Amino acid sequence: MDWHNFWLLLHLLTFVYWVGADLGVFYSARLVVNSKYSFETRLQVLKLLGWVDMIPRYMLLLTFPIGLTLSYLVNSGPQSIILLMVVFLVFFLWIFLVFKIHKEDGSLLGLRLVKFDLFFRLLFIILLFLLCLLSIIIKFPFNQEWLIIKIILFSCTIICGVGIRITFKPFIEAFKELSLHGSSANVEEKMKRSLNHAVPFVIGIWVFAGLAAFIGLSHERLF
Amino acid sequence: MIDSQLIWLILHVFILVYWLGADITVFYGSTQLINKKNSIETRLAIIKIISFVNWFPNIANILIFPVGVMLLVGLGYFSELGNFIFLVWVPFFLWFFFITGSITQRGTLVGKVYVFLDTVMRVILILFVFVGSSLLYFFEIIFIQDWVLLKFYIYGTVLICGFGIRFSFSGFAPAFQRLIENGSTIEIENKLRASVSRVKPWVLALWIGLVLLSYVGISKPGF
Repeated sequence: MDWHNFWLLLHLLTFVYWVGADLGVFYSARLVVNSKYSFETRLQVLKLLGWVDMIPRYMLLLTFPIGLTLSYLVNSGPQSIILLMVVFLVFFLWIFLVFKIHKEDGSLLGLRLVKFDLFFRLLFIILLFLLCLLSIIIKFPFNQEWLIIKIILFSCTIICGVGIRITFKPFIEAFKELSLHGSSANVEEKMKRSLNHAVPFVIGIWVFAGLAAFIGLSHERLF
Repeated sequence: MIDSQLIWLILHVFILVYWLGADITVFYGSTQLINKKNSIETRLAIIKIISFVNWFPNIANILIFPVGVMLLVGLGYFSELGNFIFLVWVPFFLWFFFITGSITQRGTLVGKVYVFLDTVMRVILILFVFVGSSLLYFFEIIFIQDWVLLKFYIYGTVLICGFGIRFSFSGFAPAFQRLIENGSTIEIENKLRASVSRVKPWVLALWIGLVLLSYVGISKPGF
């Protein structure tokens, strides 16, 4: 078995389940803000959306260590197995954190974990940009232009993810209000506005992830 | 340099994204359709999500073959046919037309005609990928690499899984119609659950088939 092909398949599947599953999330969100539906239906659709949305969340995190392993196999990234193992461990812990946030949704612990996750993401974005800058200057830890571009594009998807989280915050608050006091023009407007604000970031993720996939597929021809 | 081969390759990957990735929402949504706790209105909303998202796997199912053929053309296959190879798109546009009709006209006589035509197209395609490609390969009418033949066979199996899904799920729509008209009863709920249980192995087999298709495409094994 060729391990490079195996990791390439895994990398492809993370992209497939990230962008492909996002489609259902995007469409379902439109139904949640549809005031013609009862609160119960909107809640259940939100739960469905929440479940499906976990897949892109896990995939976004998984794609990095898998991509890093591929960069190790093609001598484009850091050549250390120990580093790879550490990165995998960190990302598995991070995936567990995301899983826990989903399970603890609404609880005090859940809110604390969300803050921790956000902090971690901001740190990760800064780290990735610094590593890319370093790679441009001294060709380390990444020694290929296409890979640096891919990582910058990947960082942009995480930025968009943070953007979604920020723009979607009023939606969550409005939905809580809806659950407590029922529908009102103000609440409905708040939810719709919040969703509309999140749309450019969602499209941003699709575009940046699509471009990263394009670079991955075409780097042998383009660079 | 961006060439046509690269564009076909990217399309091929995105077809997988919107087939396998989008299928997650369809699959999870279907499990919520049989959840007795969900009201009829909620289930109708979920049907709406499934119906929308399912367009993507349906279209991907059609496009993957002609796009794959165009990729093979870039590898030197079917050169004897020259530009006539573009005619491969004609039956697939027809198939798209039939599938669209079978969905939009569901429950009518015209819809039944479209379902029949869709079935005929699938049978022809299954016969071609198993019998036609085997003849081309074993009688060396044209040179076909082992991995290409394998991809044909796996694609044929995926199409058969599609049939399996259709037939094992055929009891769902009438039972769901009765649910809407008469409300929930143990008998109806059991029928809905039985349909979803029957369809699961086919869906799983289809997903495995798609992953195998990807792996063969990546690794291009020879025997």
